[in-house]
Amino acid sequence: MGKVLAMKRFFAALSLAALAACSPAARQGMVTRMVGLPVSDDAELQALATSAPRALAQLPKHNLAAVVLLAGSRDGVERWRTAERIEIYTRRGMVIGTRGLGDDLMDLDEGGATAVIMAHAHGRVSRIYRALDGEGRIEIRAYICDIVPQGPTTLARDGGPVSAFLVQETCHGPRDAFVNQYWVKGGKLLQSEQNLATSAGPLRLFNQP
Amino acid sequence: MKFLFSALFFATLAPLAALAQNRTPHLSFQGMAGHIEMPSAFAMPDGTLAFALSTHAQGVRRSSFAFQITERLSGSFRYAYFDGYFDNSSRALSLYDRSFDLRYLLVREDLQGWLPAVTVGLQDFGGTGVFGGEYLVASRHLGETLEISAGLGWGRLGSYKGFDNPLGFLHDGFKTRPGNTGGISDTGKVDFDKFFRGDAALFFGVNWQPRENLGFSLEYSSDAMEREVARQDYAHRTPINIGVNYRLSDKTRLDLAYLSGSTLALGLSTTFNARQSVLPSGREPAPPPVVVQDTKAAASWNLPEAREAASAQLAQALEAQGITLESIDVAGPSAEVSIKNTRWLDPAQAYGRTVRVLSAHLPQSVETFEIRSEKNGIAVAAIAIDRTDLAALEYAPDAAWQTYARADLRDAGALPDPRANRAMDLDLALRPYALPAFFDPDNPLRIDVGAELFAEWRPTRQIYLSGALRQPLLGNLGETKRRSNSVLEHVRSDFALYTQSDKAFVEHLTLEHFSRPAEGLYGRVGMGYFERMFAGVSAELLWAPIDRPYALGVEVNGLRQRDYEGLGFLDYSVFSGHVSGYYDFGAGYGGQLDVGRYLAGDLGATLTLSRSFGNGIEVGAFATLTDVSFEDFGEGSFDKGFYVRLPLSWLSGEPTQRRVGTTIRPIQRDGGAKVDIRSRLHPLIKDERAAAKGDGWGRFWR
Repeated sequence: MGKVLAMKRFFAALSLAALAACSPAARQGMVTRMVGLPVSDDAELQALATSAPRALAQLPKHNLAAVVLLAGSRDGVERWRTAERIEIYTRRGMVIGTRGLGDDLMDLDEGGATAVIMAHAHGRVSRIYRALDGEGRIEIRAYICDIVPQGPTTLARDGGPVSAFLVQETCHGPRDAFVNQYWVKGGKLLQSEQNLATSAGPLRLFNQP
Repeated sequence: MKFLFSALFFATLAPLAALAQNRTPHLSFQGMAGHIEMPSAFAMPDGTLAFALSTHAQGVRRSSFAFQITERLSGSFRYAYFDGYFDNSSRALSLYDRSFDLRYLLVREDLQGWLPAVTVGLQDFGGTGVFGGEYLVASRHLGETLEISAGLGWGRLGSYKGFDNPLGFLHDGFKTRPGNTGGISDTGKVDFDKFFRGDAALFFGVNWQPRENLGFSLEYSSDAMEREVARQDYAHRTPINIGVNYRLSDKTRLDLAYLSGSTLALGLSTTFNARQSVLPSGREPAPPPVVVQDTKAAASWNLPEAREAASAQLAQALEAQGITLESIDVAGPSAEVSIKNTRWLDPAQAYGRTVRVLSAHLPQSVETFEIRSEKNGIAVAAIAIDRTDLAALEYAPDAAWQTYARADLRDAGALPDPRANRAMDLDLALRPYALPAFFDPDNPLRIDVGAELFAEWRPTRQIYLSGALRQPLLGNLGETKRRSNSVLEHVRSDFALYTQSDKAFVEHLTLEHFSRPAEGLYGRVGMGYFERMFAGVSAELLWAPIDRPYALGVEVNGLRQRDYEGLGFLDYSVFSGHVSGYYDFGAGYGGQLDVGRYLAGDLGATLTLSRSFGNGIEVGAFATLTDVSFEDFGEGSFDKGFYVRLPLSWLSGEPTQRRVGTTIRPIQRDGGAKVDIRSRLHPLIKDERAAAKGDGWGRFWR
C-alpha cells in the first residue's frame, strides 16, 4: 500500500511541477497597478510627482491603465514613466518603445508615418516593429500601413470639448492587422490609440491639451 | 553546414500556412504524438517539452518526458511501474522500468496536397525492453478536427495479428526477432539486432476534436498486450481502444480511455514550448536613460578630493542595477570598468545597464567605456562602446544590432589585467537546498531538503575560497536500504551511505585560482573538497577563442574518496582527467566529447549533445562508454542520462541568474563517473562567450 502511495505522490509531484511552469499568474505580469502615485522612495518619482507633465496610458486589451509622468526627453524622444518604472518612449507623440510591460516594443521604425499624420495627409508607409521573441531574440514584425485623414472632430475633456483632427492608420502584416487612431491638434497628438504589435495590444494615450 | 543564422536575429515572418503545422498534436499515453497507445506520425512543434502521466487499471503507471529535439527528431524518457510483474502475489517483485524512445519525421505532411506525414520510431530501445517495438506510421489531418493514422509495427507493436515481416524480402534475418536474453546485466544495451525484425502488424488510429476542449480517439491496436496478459491478469478482448480527452488549459489535457475492451486508463499530459515565453522581455523596471550632459555626480569625478565619493556613488548606482563594480580606471577619454553581473541572465543586458549608469556618473570628457564582465575573477571579452554611439542608438530602430556592430570586442585574455582597487568582500548566503534521488524501486522519488550556508571570499582578485555547509532538515534519502553490488570501486554507487546521517556536512570547501594566461586561454587550479564524495587537487586549461565555435580543454585531478561523514577520507584515491572538445553547431545545438580516465580508473569517452535556447533553457543527453564491460558495469550497462535546466527568470519573468535543473540517469553506477567540480571553465564562460558572438544582444537596450 505504501509503495502505491509513494508512486502516487511521485506522480503528483511531477505533474504539479510541470503545471507550475505554465501558471496563469505569470500571464498577469503586465502592468498590474492602477492609476495613482503611491508614496515611494524613488527619488526621481518624488521630484516629478508635483510638477511634471502627465498623461494617461491605457492597455484596453488587458483592462489596465496608469498615469505616466514625463520623466525626461532627449533628442526629440520623450520618456514617460509610471510609478513602478514602466516606461513609454514617444517621438512627437508616436510610441517608439516601451520597457517593463513584460512583452515590450523594443524599437520602431515608423517609416515616415508621423510626418504624414501631422500633415493630415494620405500616405502609405512601412512600419518595422522590433520585439523579443520567446527565446529573447529580436523579432521583426513588418506592416504596411495606409494613413487616411478622417476629418475634424471633438474630444470630451474635463475642461470642456476640445477640437482635433482625426487620422486613421490601417496596418497589415503577415500575421495580423490593426488600426491606429490619432487625434491631432496644433502639430501635437492630443490622444491616440497605437498598437504595439506585441501581446500588449493597443496602447491609448491621453495627453494634456 | 553553417547556415545564415546570425546568432542574434531571426526574422520570423511566419506565413499563415505554417501555423497549422505548429499545432501540438494529440499525445498518446506514451507521451508522444499518437492516439491512445498507438503512435501518429506528427511531430510536436520544435522545442516542445511534454510531460505525461498515466495510470492503467491493471496496475501499470507511466510517466514520461518527451522533447522535440529538432523539427523532425524527438526523443522521450519513460519511467513505468508494473505492479506484480514478476510475481502476481507480491508487490515486492514489481517492475520499475526506465526506457527511451526516439522518432524521426521522414516526410512532412503537405497540408495543401495529399502527402501524409510519415514517421519512423523506436519504442523502448535499450532498457529492459518491456515496451520494445518499432514502427512506421503515416498520418494526415482531415479538415480542422480529424487526425488519422495507419502504420506498421514490429516487436510489441507487431504482436496482434502479426504477419510475416515485409522486410523479409530484403534479408531472411528480418523474419525472426531475437528474444530477450534476459538477465539484469542486459538492461540498458541498445538492441540493434532486434530493430524491425520479426512479425509485423498493422495499426490504425483516429483522433476527432469536435470542440476546442473536447476530443475523442479510436484506434485499432497492434499490441496484443502479451506481457500484461501473462503477468497481470490483463484481459485482451478486442484490439479496439477508445478514449475521450478534455483540455484543462491551453497546455494541459486529461485523457480517459478504455483499452482492449477490459481496462480503464487515465492520463494527464502537459506541454510547453522552450521557444516561447509568457513574458519575453521580462518584468524588470525600465533602465535608467543615457545621459549626455554632465550631472553633478559626473562633474565631481574630476575633483580629486571628491573622486572617492563619486566612485562610491557609481558603485551604488550600479548595485541598484544588479551590477557589482569590481574596478574602474579612468584615463583621459576612456574608462576601463570591470563588473560582476549578479542579476541578468544575458550578459548583454548587464552591459547595457552598465553603460547607462556610466553615462550619468562619468564626465562627458570620458568618451569610451570599456567593460569587462567577470566571473570568478576572469573576463571573456572586453567590450568598448563610444558614448556618442550610445546617445545616437538609445531610441533608434534596430538599436541592438547597431550597438553590437559598433562595439569593439576583444578577448580579455589579450589585455593586461585591470588594476584591482576595491576591497574584496565576503559573500555569505543562507539558502535552502533540495537533493533528490530517483528510481530506487523501494521509493522512486526520494528527496532531502535542508538549509545551506554558502560563503565565498576573495582575498585577491582571482583567488576564491568557497564553501557550503549543509544541514538536512527533512527528507527520506537516509531510508535507502539497497546497497551497491557493483564489482567496480564504489565511486558513486555508495551514494546511499553518504546520506544516512542527518548531521550537518560540508558540501564543498575549495580554494581556487582562475586566470587568463593568454588570448583565448583560461586556467583553473584548485584544491579542497570538491563535492560530497571526492576531494583533492584539480587543474584545468581551456583554449576557447572568442570568435570560434570550438574549444579544447584538458583537466587533471588527483582525488581521494571522502568518508561518509565528516572531513575524513576512505582508502581509495585516483588520478582522473580528460581531454575535452567542445563544438557549437549553431542554432543552439552543441556537442562535447570528453576522453580520459574516470573515477573508477576506467578509460573511455563521454559524448554529450545539448540544445540551448535563447532564453536560457537547456536540454541535453549524454552517454559514456569505457573499458568497463557491460557485465562489470551492472544494471544499465553503461552510464547515460539527460538533463534539463530552466532559468527561473523564464518561469517568473523577474530577472535572476538562478536556474533550476536536474540530471536524470536511469541508473547511477560506478563506470564512467566524473568528479563534480562546480567551477569547470567551459560552463563558466559559456554565456559570456555566446554574448561576445552577439547572442542575447536584443536585451542590451532592455
